[in-house]
This record gives sequence, C-alpha cells and structure tokens, in this order.
Amino acid sequence: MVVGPDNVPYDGARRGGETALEGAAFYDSSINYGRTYRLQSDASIFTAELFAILQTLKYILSLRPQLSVILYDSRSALESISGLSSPPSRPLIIQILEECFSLRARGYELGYQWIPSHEIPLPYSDFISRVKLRSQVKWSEWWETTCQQKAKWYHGVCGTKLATPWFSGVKDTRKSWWSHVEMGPPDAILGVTEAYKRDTNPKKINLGVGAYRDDNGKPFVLPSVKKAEDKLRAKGLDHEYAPIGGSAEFCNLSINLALGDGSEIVKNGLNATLQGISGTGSLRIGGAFLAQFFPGNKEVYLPTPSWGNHTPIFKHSGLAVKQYRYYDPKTCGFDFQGSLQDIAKIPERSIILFHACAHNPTGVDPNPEQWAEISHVVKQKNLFPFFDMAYQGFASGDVAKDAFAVRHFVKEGHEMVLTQSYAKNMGLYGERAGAFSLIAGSKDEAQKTMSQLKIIVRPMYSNPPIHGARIVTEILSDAALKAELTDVKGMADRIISVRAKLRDNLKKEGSQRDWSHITNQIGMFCFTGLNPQQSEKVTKDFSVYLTKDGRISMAGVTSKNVEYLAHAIHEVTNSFRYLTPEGPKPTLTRVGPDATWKHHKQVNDLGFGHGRSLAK
Amino acid sequence: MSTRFSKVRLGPPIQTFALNQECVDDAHPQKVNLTIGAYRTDEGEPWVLPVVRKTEMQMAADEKLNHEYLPVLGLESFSSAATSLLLGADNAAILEGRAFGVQTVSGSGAIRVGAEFLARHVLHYGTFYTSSPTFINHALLFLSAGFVEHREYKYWDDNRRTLDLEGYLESLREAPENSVVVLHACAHNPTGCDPTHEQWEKIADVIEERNLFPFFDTAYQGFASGDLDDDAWAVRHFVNRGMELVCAQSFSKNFGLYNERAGNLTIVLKDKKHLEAVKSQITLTVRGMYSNPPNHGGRIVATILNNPQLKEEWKESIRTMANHILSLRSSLKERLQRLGTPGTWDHITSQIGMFSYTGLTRQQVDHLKEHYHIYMLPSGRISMCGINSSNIEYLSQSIHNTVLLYPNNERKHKL
Repeated sequence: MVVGPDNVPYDGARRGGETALEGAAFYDSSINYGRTYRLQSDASIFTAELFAILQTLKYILSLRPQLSVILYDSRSALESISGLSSPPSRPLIIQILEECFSLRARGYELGYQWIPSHEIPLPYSDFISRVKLRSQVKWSEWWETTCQQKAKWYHGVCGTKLATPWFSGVKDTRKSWWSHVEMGPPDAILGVTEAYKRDTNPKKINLGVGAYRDDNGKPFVLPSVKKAEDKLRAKGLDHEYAPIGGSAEFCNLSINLALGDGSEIVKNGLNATLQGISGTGSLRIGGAFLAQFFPGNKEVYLPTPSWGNHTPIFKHSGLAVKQYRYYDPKTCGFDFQGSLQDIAKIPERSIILFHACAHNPTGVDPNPEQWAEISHVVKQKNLFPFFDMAYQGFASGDVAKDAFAVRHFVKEGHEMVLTQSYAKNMGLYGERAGAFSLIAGSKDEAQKTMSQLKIIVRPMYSNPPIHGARIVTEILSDAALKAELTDVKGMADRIISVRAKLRDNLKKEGSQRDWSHITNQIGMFCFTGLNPQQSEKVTKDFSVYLTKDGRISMAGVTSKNVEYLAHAIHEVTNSFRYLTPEGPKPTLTRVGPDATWKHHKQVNDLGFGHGRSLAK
Repeated sequence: MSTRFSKVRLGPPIQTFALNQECVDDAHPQKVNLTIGAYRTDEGEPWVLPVVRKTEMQMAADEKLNHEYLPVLGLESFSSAATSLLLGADNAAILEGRAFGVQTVSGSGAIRVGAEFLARHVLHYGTFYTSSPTFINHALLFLSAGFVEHREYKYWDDNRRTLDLEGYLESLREAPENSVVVLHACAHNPTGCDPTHEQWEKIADVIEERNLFPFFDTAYQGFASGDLDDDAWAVRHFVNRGMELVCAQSFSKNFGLYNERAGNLTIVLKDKKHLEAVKSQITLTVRGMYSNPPNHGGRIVATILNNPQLKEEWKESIRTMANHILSLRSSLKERLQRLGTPGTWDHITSQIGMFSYTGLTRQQVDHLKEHYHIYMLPSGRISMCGINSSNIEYLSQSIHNTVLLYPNNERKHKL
C-alpha cells in the first residue's frame, strides 16, 4: 500500500481569515480513497504538513496493512521527523513518533519516501487537483452569493473574481448569533466508546461505559423488569401528567428501600421524597435546593476522586465544590487516615458528599467501623451529609448491606439528603428513574421542604417521566417480584466472580504486582492502578478501551475475554517495551527535551527512518 | 440536635395544580374542571391514542429493545424526526445541515435547556420578553435558567378580545438588542389567539430589525388546526427568512404522552460550522442537569414518526382531537348566543388550540367556582378539553347566569 499525505492550500500559499482554506489531505492509491481536513486559520503550512502525516498514520493504524510506504513531497517535514534537524519539540512531531512506535511495536513495516512534488504519481496528483478544484468552487460560490450584498463595494472596484478571498486576515464580522460559541471539551467516557467502535480488532474490549453487560457482553434486561412491564401493559394505563413530585407511591417505596421497611423516619413523616430524573436529576434538585436554602457554608466537599459529573452538577446548581482525600493510589484502597484528617479540616456547617456504596470510580468503600468513625467526625464538625446511592444491591447483591452507611447515619440522628438511582440495580438506565429525599428534623419542616422542591422542579422540567417509575413501583410493591430482586444479586455475583478471575489470570501470567485491590474493590468499577501511559498503551496495542485514570468497568469483563485482558494488563505493567513512570514519557505536555530525545532514539532504533524502505 | 432547615418557608402552591386539586377534592356531582390542559374524550376520560397503544405493544414484543442509556442529546432518530416535523423535511436549513434537534424532558425541559444555554454558559443574554398574558411557567423557566430581566410585550386586547398588534410591535421596537423574545408558534397559551400570516411577517420584520432573538415554543403542532404544516407556519416563516432561532417542542398534547416527557429542542443556525460547538455546549448543560433524557416516550414518538403508516394513523388521531375541540368551541358559542348572554362570544371560535380566554372577570370566575363548582384559572382561561356533551348545557347556563348577575361593565367602573 502506498499512502501519500499532502497539505492543500489551494494556490500554494498560506491564507488567513476564517474562510480561507488551509487544509491537509491524504490519499491511498491501493483503494483509491482519500480524505481532506480543514485546519484552524492560524495554522502554518508546516503544521498542515505534519498534521497530514499524522492523519495518514492514524489511517494506516486503522487498516493495519503489513507494509506501508508514505510518499511525501515536503522534505522539511520528513527531516524534522527523522530528527536530522533537531530534537523534536513540536507536539505534532511527538505524536507522529508515538504513532510510528506503536505501529512498529506491533510488527508492521512502515517506510517514508520523499518525492519531488512535480513527479507525483498519477492517481495521487489527480486527487490533489480534485481537492484544489473543490476549494476553488467553494470560493467561487461564496464570491457569487456574498458579494451581491456585503462586499458590493469591493466587487465594484475589482470587477472580476479574485484568486484569493479579499477578506484574508480580516476578522469575520458578519452577524451570527453563535460565532463566539467555543467547542466544549468532549466527554472522556463518550470518547472512549467512539474510539472503541472504530477499532477493527476482533479482540477489542470496551471497559469505559458504566452499564451492566452479561457474560456474553450483551445488555441485560432483568427478568423481573420484563414481568413488571407485562403486568403494566395488561393494566392499560393512561399517559396523563404525573404530579410535579412524581408518583407518591414510587417515592414511598423508594425511601423504604433505602431506609428499610418500617423506618421511624417514614413513619413520623420526616422525609420529603420526590421523584427525580434518575440519579443526576436528583442530585441537581438537591444541589439547587441546598444552594437556595442551606443555612451553613454553601460548599460541597467531594471525595478525591469522585464521579466526574458531580462537579458540574453542583457548580451548575450554584454551590462551590471542594475536595477531601479518599483514595490512596499506593494501596489502591481507602485512605482512611487521610479522609479523617481532611474532614476534620472542613469548615463547620459545610456539605459533604458520600457515595453510599460502590464508590465511582474507584470501587473502594469504607468498612462499617470506618463509616461509624466518619459519622462521628461529621457530627462533631456539624457537617451536612449528602449521600449519593446509585448502586444499592448492585455492589454486594444485598440491598440492606449496601444501605449500611445511609442507615447508620440515620440511626445516629443526622439530618441529610439522599439521592437514589434505579439505573444500575434494575437496569433501567434510559428510563431515568430515581428519587431525591431530604430527611428533616420535623414533619412540618419536611412538608415545607417538599413545597420548595416542587418550585425547583416546575421551572426545570415540570414533572418527571413515569414509565421507569411505574416499573419500579410494580416491582417494589409486589412481594413476588421484590423477592426476585435476586436479579440484582445475579449481577453483583457475576461482577464479583470476574474480579476473582481477573486477579487469578494476572497471577497465571506471572505478574509480580499486588493485585489484591481488584477483589477488595466493589461494584461496577475497578481502579486498576494503571497510570495514564499504561492505559494509553493497553488501548493502542491491545485494543482494550478504558479511561485514562485507569478505571475499568468490570461489567465489560466476561469469562471469554478475561484471559486476554489479564495478558494485556500484564504486558503493559511488566514488559520493558512499555514506558514505566521512570522511563521517558511520551505524553505531549510533560515532555522534557532529554526524555524526548531518548524516546526518539529508541524509535529510530526500531527501524523508523527517512527513506529507509521503498516500495517499487 | 438543632434543625437545619427551620427557616425554609412553605412555598406558594402552583396555581394550576392547586386549582385542579381543589376540583378533584370537590364532591359536587356537577363540578366542571376547566383547569388542566390535557385532552379528554366526550366521556371526560383521558385518551391514549390508538397508534400509541399499538406502538407500545410492538415495542414490548421487540426483543432487541432494552433500557440502555440514550446519548446525552437523546435518541438521534427521535430528534431528527422531530426537527423535520417542525421545519418540514425538505427545509433548506435541514438540507444544508445547519438545523438539529436535542431530545429533552418535554417542552418545559426544552425551554430550560435552551434558556440555560443562552443565559448561563455562553452567550450571557439577560433580558427576555414574554407575551402579556403568558403561560406562567415561561417566566419561571427563564429566570431559573439564569436570565435576570423579565419584560412583557403587549399581546391581548382585553376590550376587543383580540390580538393587539400595534402594541405588540411597539413593545418589540423598544426592546434592547439581543433580547430573547418568547413566541408561541401556534395556539397561544392562554389566550388561544394567534397572529395571522401577515401579522407574523410584521413581527419577524421588527425582530430582525432590532436584532432580537426568537425563541419559539410549540406545544400544539397539529393539535390546533388539525394540520401539522399550518401549525408550523410561523416557525418555518422565520427560518425561511434566514433567521437563527431555537424552538421548544412538546409531544405531550399531540401524542397524548403527557407523563412520558417527550420533547425536543430544535436549533437553527446560519452557518453549520458553529453546529458542533453549539452541540458540545448543550451537552454540558444537559449533563449537569439530568445526564440523558428518558427513553420510553421518545422511542414511541420516533417509531411513529419514522414509519409512514403509523404516521398516517397518528395524523388521523390528531384530526379527531382537533375537530372535537373545534366542535366544542362552536357549540359553546352557539349556546351562549342562543341564551342571549351579554357581550360578544365570537372569540371562542376564532381562538385556537386547547385553551380559550373567555374574558370572564375575576368576580365572575370566583362566582362560577363557589356557586356552580366550575373551576377555571382566575384569568378566565378555560381548557376546552374539560367540556363535553353532558356538561356543556350546565356550563353555558352557569356562565349566562353569572354574567347577568355581575355584568362586565362593573369591572370597568372599578378600574
């Protein structure tokens, strides 16, 4: 296969201005396929050239041919990649080197060949001229349409169409409401899924998403949910509006599930419980309520790390967000001492968030004794606990056990807020069933709180979606179906068993590292302890997709892929070929010149070089 | 232990819901509930559209469906079908790829997301205009989303019981640049009175001239006139003029999916190069509010809109509902005219959609509630859906008696 990249400024010179067409392209002669890219207007030609090479490499990586040769007409770009000029410092060059390294590490052959641009092979030059033509057409169209109004004066002066836009380098002042909207950062987890979908490796594994999968890697609809849905259909219910606070029966069943049947709190009417749009929506209601009414210090303290969405939810609600220590990277376990020290330093009358069980993303929970101690300190410091319970029953398979922390705090007399989600324990992800509760000091207070919660919901979405809540109600109010919450036990047990299998297989691979945290952690997620470099490598070289913090979703692990996964993890944590924290780091931001140089030499030793290999 | 929330005061009840509750609790056998905007059959019962039932059955039988998360911006097949329904599938904005939809928690959720996007994170718009009178929740939605200044444009001429176009345009001419103007695409809530095509053109002129930003709300597409295209005329007119806008769509009424919360936010841009950036910002807004929208209602709507046969059945149901309401309007008007009730009642049939602004005074409304157990909003807004063949006689006679007892001019003396 021969692939040629090129930068495609349409008449050979750099253009400024928003609509100028600085671009990059590559072409694959073997299948007559090419792609073009548009770059930011302030990109230099050199950047465009490097960008084209990088895109070409990514393309090659996606196809994985045994031998590829890249033909290129920019000598300066090739020279800087091969290091003839100076140690690389440009991020693009480093990225290119990484891609090459990754390709070579997998045993693919890769060569570069400089070619004078006027001797471009035929199909390739055809492609270039097609791209150039398209650019010209675009500019012509623009000239024809816009110059009728906005640039009439210019049209009058010049008469004929120019080869380059007249507004090159001029800021575009045309009225549009959105031109200053900047691109928001992509969602890290979503990005992982996208990359996974593109990968063609049959052995690929997606460990990014937090949704349960069965042992065949397929989504799982709980048998009890199916039964509940059948019963609901038989009832032929209407689709009338739910009250603002949602279904009262649903709310009642939810708080009883959390606190245990016959709870004094519910009996005495001390809870204000409202149906929310699953966990996130409930958190948002809680955040908004506290931002408005919390009489103390309006700051929420989150564990480090916490679920990524906690911070934006509370910030959008109008609360300040701060942290307390939680996870210890050395032990991959709970930092009990650190937590207590930090909690003791939190200003009195602040809000503190706890994951009720199955901490996301670490899977690390305090044990009952530690919870008791935390409760003590929280009371001493007069902090206000906010419990997020997204995995009740899913962690241990036992709803009461998973609610230990919440129930203990209630028993100790804390007032608190609590959010519940049925996404995981009933597999109702997309149906958005959840609940928000505030446990108040008196019945009167709970009622007043309820009235204010409704005022928060009404101008947010008016009233909640009912389908999921009806399913939950059907299950929790039916003794037979509730007993079948054994479904959740089945899910929990599968997760617990793959944790053990992963640990065993790592041992079989001969790993010397301590992997006991894999089985000590609980719930959907496991913090493997892989550093960002290792996480990246395990993705690149083994098609195992996970977030950069080393978090894997245990739901993506099955009895079929666990061996391969263990092998991959062992390879990146053990093999000398992979850069450990002590070695040179190929990440873009943290590179020092020396480290880069070493890394780069290593790449060259592996056979990468300017014009070394040729396809005739 | 000292209690933390003792300072929380009891919030005021939400008017519509409170009145509805009052009516539900009323034991009078002839009570009439005209408060809530949800369709009722002639027997006064909620109506699940046959095509919705059928689709739900099909979905239940489909083993491939599951309850997995939808994307943050919702089901793609839903949002693109919703946007096409609004703009027309062959609309230039769609063909040029500069219009897109976001699945939301029904119409209210769409307004909240749209308003939060405009106010809080990016554009920092602070002033919004709603019609006077307006759907109460509009003001609350915008203020909670971060808007700071609420102004009203004139809309309803109380004496002539019709649109006050001159006042309308005058208020818009005085609006500061970049103000967001909330427009009801059809079946204005609560007056039921819509601008004509010519009037819409004039409104669009001023909005364009003053560089205001149009924010449409359409909760009744197809439900108002029985014709999906007619009811979308105003939005399409703005888009065809090349204006940028957002539009909140609800499928509560026209699909009868009130409690499934199926809605869409359509965004039309001038240039598709800003599309990805706008999408990314809306993603952030949604992620911090409820993460991703509810699946069930969205899937029902998507299934129906993307299947030509089901879509035809749905259109048939919409016509049934629209015609039922139109016939209620004319029969209420006829009865009042036959009784010789003082005042003109032509506005009952010239108004459109679920609601009618009767023009009854506060005193008359109170009397109707206390004496006849007929519940409506203090503004005199009635939901046409609360009327049926068994209560229309009682209702018209009660209105007649009340207007005779408290003549309209008495109110003018007080003013």
